[in-house]
Amino acid sequence: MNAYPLILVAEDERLHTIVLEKTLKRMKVTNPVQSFAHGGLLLAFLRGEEDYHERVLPDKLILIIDLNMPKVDGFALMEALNADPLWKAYPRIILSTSDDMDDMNRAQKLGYEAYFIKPPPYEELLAVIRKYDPPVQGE
Amino acid sequence: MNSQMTQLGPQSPPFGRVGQWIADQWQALTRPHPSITNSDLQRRARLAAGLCGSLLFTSLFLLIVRFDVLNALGIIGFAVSYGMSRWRVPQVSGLLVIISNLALSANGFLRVTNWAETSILAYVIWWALPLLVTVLILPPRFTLLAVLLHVPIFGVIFTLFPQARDIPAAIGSGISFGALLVASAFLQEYYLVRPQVAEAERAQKLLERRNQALERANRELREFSYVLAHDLRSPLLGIQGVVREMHYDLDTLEEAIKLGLAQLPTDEAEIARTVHDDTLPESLKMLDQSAERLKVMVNEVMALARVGQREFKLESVGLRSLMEGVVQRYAPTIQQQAATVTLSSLPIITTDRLAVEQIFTNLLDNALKYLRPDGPKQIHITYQRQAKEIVVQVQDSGRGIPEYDHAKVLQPFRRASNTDDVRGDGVGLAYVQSLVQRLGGRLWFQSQEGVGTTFFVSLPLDPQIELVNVNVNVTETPPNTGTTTS
Repeated sequence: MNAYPLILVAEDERLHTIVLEKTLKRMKVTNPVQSFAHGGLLLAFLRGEEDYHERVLPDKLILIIDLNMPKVDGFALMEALNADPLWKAYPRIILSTSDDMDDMNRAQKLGYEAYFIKPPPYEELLAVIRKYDPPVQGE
Repeated sequence: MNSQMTQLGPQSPPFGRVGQWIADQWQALTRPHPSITNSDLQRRARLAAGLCGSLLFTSLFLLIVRFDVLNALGIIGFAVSYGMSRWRVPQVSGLLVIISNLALSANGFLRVTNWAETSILAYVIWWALPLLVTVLILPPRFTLLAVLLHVPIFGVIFTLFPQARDIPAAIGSGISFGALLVASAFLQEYYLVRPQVAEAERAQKLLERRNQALERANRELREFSYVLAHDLRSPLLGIQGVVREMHYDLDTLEEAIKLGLAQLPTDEAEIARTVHDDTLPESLKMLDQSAERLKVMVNEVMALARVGQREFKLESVGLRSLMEGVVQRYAPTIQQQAATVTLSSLPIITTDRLAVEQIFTNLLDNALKYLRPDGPKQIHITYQRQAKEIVVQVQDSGRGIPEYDHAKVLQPFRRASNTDDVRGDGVGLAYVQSLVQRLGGRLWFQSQEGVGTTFFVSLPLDPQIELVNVNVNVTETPPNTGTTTS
C-alpha cells in the first residue's frame, strides 16, 4: 500500500512543535505527524520500547530533527540512526536555530536531506516533504 | 613664619621658578624618547641619563672649585647634546661628540678635545687615544663614559702631578682610566640600570597577568552572552510562531464567532465584539512586535559576542581602497540624501581587514543616518599619523549627540535621545567599540548638537597578533576552568 510517510519530529521546544504541526496542517500536508521532546524518545519509538510497545512502524518515514535538545541531541540521534542500516535510509530534515558553521558542518557529515534555520521557509520545507509523497494514483 | 612655611611647602621646588624649570628640563632630558620601545635601548637611554647627571656634577665641580666657567659650560654642552640625542643611534652620537671636539692646536697638532678642556689640560692628540679606541671599538656605553670621565680624571691628575704631562704617564693614566671606565660602567649597569629594569619587568609582568585575567573574564562573559542569547532565541521564535498561528486560528474561528455573536444579548455582544475586533488583534500584534524586537536584540547580542569569537588575521590593508569600497556600497543612500563624502589620502596599515571594514561601515552608516534633513550634508574621512598609531576621523555635519547622551551612546541598546525618527537598534557603536578594542585601538568622539559629530578611531601601527587573538590555552589558565567551549 502506498501511503504518505509518517513524519517524526524530535524537538524539545513545545511551541516550535505546535507551530510546525499547525503550519503543515494549514499547508494541507496529510502525512501523519508524531512529535518527541528529545532524540531519545524518537529512538525509543523506532525500537518500540518504553511507551511505544504498541506503535506501528510504517515503511516510509521522514525525520525532522532539532539539533539542540536535552538528553539525546540531534547529533547523537543522527549517530544512532547511522548505526542502523534501515534507520540510516530515512530522510532527515534538520530544523535548528543554529546558524553556526561548526554545527552545520557536523550535521552535514552525519548526513541530512535538508537543513533549515528556524523559522524555516515553509514552502521549501514542504517541497522536501512532498518529494516522498506516494506516486499519483493511475500512473 | 607660618605663611613662609606654606610658601616653601614640600611641593615648591628649592629654587622657586628657576628650580622648577631646571627640574623640568632635567626630566625632559632623562626621559627616554617615546619612540624607543626596545627595552635594550630604553636601558641605554637610562644609562645616558645617569651619565648626564654625573657630567653636570663634574661641571658644577669645575665651576665651584676651579671657577672654570668655560670648561663647565663645555661639559654642560656635552650633557645636553647627549640628552638630546637620547641614544637613538648611540654610535653616531658618540662619534659626533668626538668630531665636534676635533681641533687644531696652536702648533698645528690635531687634538681630540674641546676648546675649554684645552685651556686647562693642554694635552695632545695621542693622550686621548684611549678615548678614541673606546669610541670606535667598545660598546656605546663605554664611549659615553670615556667622553665624560676623561676630563675630570685628567684634570685631577694633571693638577696634582704636573709632571704627569709626559708620554708614559699619559699611557699609564690611560690604562687606569680604561679600567676605571669598565668598572664604572659595570657599577652603573648593576646598581642603576638592572634594578630599574627588573622593577619595570616586574611591573610589566603584573600588568600582563592582570590583562590576561581581565581578558579571560571578558571572554567568559562574551561566551556566556553568546550562549544566553542563543538559548533565548529558541523559545522566542516559538512565541512568535505561535502568535502568528493565533492569527490563523482567529480566522478559522471567524464564522463561529459571527454566529455566536448573533445569538448573544446586545450588551454582551457589544463587549465580545470589541474584544474580537480590537482588543485581541491589538494584543496579538503587540506580542508579535515585542517578540520581533526581542529577536533583533538577541541577534545583536550574538553578533556582539561573536566579535570575541572570530579569529582576527593581521594583514596589510590599504585603508583608502577599503574605504572607497565602503563608500561605494552606500552610493545609493549618499545620492538619495544628496550628501557628499570626501576621503583624504589614507595609509596602508597592518590590521584585520574585515574588522576595519565593519568599523567604518558602521560609522559611515551612522553618519548618513543622522544627517539633518535641512542641514549641510557633508562627511569627511581623514586621518592623522602619530608615533604608534593612526587616528582616523569620520566627521559629519549631522544632528550631533546631545551632551547628556554622550556617556551612553557607546553602550549596547542605548541611543541618543534625538534619534527617535530614525530606525536603529542602538548596537552599531557598541559593535564598533568592541571591534576597535580587539584591534588594540580606541574609539571616542566629539559632538555638538546641531553641528555634527566626529568619531575618532585609533588603530595601532604595530598590532600584536597575540593580543588581538588572546589565546584560549593561556598557560596560566587554572585547571578548574579547563573546559573548552563546545
